[in-house]
Amino acid sequence: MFERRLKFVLGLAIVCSAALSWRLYQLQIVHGAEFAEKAEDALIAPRQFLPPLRGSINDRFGRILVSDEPAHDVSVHYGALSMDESYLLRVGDYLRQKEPRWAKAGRRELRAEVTNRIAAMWMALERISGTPLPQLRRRRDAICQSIENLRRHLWTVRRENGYDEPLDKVHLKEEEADHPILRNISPRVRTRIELELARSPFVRIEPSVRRVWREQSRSLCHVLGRLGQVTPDEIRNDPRRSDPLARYRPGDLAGVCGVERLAEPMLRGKRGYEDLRLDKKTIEDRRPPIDGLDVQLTIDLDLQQRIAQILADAVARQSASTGASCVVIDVRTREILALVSVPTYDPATLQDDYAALRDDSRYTPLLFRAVGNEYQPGSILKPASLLAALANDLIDPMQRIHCDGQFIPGSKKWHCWTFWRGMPGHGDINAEEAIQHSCNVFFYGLGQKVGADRLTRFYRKILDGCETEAAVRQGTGLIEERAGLLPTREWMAENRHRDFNQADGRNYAIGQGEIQITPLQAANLFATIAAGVYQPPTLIANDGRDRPVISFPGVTDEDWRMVRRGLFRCVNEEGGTAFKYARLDRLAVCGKTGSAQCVPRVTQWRFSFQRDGEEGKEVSIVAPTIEAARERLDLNADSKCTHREIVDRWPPLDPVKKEVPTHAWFAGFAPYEHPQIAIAVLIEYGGGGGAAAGPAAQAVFQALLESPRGYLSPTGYASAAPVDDRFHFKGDEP
Amino acid sequence: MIAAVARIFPPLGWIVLLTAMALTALGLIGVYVSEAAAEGPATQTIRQLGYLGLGLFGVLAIQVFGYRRIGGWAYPLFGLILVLLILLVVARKIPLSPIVPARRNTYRWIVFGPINIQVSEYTKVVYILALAAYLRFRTNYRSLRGLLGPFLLTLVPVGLILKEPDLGTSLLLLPTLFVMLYAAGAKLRHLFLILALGLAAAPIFYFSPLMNPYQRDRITSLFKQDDDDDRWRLAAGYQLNQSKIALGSGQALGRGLDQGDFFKHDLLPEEHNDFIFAVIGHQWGFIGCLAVILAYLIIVAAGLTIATMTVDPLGRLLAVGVCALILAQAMINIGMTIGLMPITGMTLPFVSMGGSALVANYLCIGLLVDVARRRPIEIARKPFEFAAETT
Repeated sequence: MFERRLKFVLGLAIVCSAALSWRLYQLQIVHGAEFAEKAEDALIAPRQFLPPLRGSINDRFGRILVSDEPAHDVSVHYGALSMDESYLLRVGDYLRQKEPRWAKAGRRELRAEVTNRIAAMWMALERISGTPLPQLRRRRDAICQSIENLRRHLWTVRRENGYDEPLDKVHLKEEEADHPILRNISPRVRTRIELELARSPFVRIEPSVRRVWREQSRSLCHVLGRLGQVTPDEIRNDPRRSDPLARYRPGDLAGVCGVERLAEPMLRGKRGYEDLRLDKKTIEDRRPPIDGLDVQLTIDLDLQQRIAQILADAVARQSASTGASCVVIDVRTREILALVSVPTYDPATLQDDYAALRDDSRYTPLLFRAVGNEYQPGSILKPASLLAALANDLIDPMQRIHCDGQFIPGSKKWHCWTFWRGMPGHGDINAEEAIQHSCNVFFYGLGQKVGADRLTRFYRKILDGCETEAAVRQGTGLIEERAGLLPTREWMAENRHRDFNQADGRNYAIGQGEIQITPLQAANLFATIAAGVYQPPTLIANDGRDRPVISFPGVTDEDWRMVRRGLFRCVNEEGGTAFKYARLDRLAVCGKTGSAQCVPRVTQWRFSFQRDGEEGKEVSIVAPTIEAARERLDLNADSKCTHREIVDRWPPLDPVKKEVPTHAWFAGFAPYEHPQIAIAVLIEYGGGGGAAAGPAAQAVFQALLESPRGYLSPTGYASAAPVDDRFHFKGDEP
Repeated sequence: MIAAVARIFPPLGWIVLLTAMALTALGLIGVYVSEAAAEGPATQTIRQLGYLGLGLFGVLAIQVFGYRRIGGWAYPLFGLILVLLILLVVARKIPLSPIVPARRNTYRWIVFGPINIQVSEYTKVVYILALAAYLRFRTNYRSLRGLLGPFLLTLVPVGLILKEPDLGTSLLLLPTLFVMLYAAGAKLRHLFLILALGLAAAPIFYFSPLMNPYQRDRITSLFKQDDDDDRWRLAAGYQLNQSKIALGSGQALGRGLDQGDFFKHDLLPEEHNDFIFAVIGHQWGFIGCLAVILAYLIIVAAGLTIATMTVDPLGRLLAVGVCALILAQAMINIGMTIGLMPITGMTLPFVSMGGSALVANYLCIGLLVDVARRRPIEIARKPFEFAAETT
């Protein structure tokens, strides 16, 4: 029996061997060639991507405003940043092998030496770069923190996918990489670091790319916008995600706002790659990156800068004023020549200044006023309401209406603006004169006749080109751009719980009530009045978008001429509201002032938060923004604010009139015959439109007249330089 | 002179010893080539040569003492090994460094100065000795209750080694036990019953906390090895994938010895230890792999012949145990290298780098040679023949 059983054991051994041999036959003979190929592939190092240069953003004459420039970063190995124990020991081993002095040193000794060297490296970096050590430490901690967060994230994701492993077993490639500590170093610093730290195992100087804002482009800070790391949503919704070289990868930079975002499809390029063999450094395959395309704005840098200065001066003159905006637009092409918002900030140092800029709640320098904030238009909307009445054939333009300073006798509410100044009413005036004198009483009657519904419908068409309720307005496409507020019946029902009434009609006719528009809309409105047709504004030359031209069949040429005449008289005739402020001898300026009643801006809140895990325990703090409050209380971003109340506002109430200064508007166009340029100027809390915005507008027209580009010359001026045919927004491939 | 040598080493013993040494040489060549390619000192090769010397010395020493005398020390040796294993388990709770250092969070080694002892490797030899000593004069293992003894003898070291943890080595004792019991004449239905119970318990073990997540991953990756899912190929299945590439790319005749690229860049972790078969497959191809498998078959066949030629029950059981151990190790190691078995830390006997394993395996060979050398003494009925009861 014994022998038989042993034979059986031997048989088992032979069967097992046969099975193994069969499998080996499969692997080595049948699929051998495939595996040989895989072995070849395995000898190629992981693909190195070559980043493309992002396109530059230029002004209308090709002057570079912001571009990618080669630079050098100083990077430090993550192990030295995080003082990872295994890394210290590894460097210790390295020292033992490389430096005879340490050949016999013990582990502890080596570790101490490595720690000392890392400390010395920080001192050297501080000394050479001039960056203070605490700042370097902050950067170091930020890098460590973000990688730790990533690691934790990966750990939870793997956990959800069924991996059960301790956190410290999860490792990232980033933990074996160098991370930039000093960006964009000067050649001098670079040389000194190379000399002093050449043999340091922790430090490396790496070529990189940085976004460089030209010094002059500060006036364009809002327009240009900024870059940020792509979000998971952007990666998911990327139109080019099917192309592995073009699609976003985590950590890529993409436009967050401004033109950087608007023109992202053009600006972003396409990565190249390089496959190297592991053994020798021979190149197996290489594809150069395709750089992003340059974007040409319609904006004139000189004009923009000049206007920014004019506005800054205007704001400085008014003690209550918090900011200003001006939009200059070409009447025929609707190219935006200037899109100014003050105060501005320095885009190059935005990252460091961000918290301070955000918390400046009085001047809100981050706010893109020209397109991103809505204001009551006030009287500058009067030409539009007149056109609405004419389009609906509801008034006879020659019919005179009597203004004695109040609309409803005895009522304290519906007064002409003259009433507040102790002046008599406008007397008998017709439509043209009503524009010239900005007569409220005339427009109360007109608004009542036309009605709020027809008025806002017409406003939507003349401001946004929307002929139907459902039509979508077409602006510049900037993410900051807001649509203004032109109430509809539905909006009233939802937000005011009532239908339009007569009072709404009166208010809307003089640009008060719920109505709000942006300075860009105001400027384009006057371009439309000047041209007689609506067109959407353009910020990027030849961006390939369709630009519909919308005409107003109900409005006759004579109607247009009459409105323009009113606007001309407003500026150029004694008694016009802008006569004293905006008139120019050399130029027939047409325009309209506006002093829009407004609410003060909240500058300080008291925020109350529920502390995590502490039921019922509330903390509150006075802060300008909720982010600042969270930061000061050390709360995380999703902590819920349970209650907030207003602590302080700006501007303070006028002690006499018991109200805040009005927003000062001037909107107009020039010249009267064959209009070329339309503008809108807004001075926040500037007071009377004529006195505050009028001179600023005058200065802007002066600047346009003086411009060597000849914007207001009778022979026309240089249009935006022709751009390459490749510029297309719609296409996937740039 | 030749006659004298022939008396000390009869042909079967020679065959076993020389085959084992040929396998060791194959491993040494593989390691030497990759060390030469890395242009470093050939430290591993030299060290392994030293261990080979030590192992051969062990073979000689066993010839001097004789397996019977050593069999008499089986229980004290087994006790000693258990004490050492308990020491390793204790080390997890009470730090005994530097005598019991933690390496990769495992406690497998006892260090006395320059000597590193991997206790579980020696456990295998001592276990075979102890089991053979236990079984040699008994017949009660032919009842189910009688199997309790052998199983206890097995499960105690298995449990202790599992705690190190060293799943591979601990699981190796079970097939050895089964083969030895089977050879000794335990009833087949008993063995099948236990096997069935064991298999039924396997899922429980799989989900119990005794099983580490990485071990579960390894089993999963075995079933997912042909998936296109990168997650497995780059994570838990990385080693298997690289091993298959190394092996498969050897094709029929191998890439020869100068083609060190694949290993120079460290594309196969553990290439000199558990995955040395992949190195051999890469260098020598299908032919080399067949030769290695054939070598193990020769050792097993010779060992089993030695067992039949001997009438001494201890000798028989020792020979069978050694064959079972070597066979199981070789088959499982090759199986995991080519993706037929989950990856466990198991060395390829005689070939893999590692001192304790090599010496322990040569001690096994020493026992086999010694059993072959002793002339049969025909004074009694051959052991393990139960003619009357055989079913």
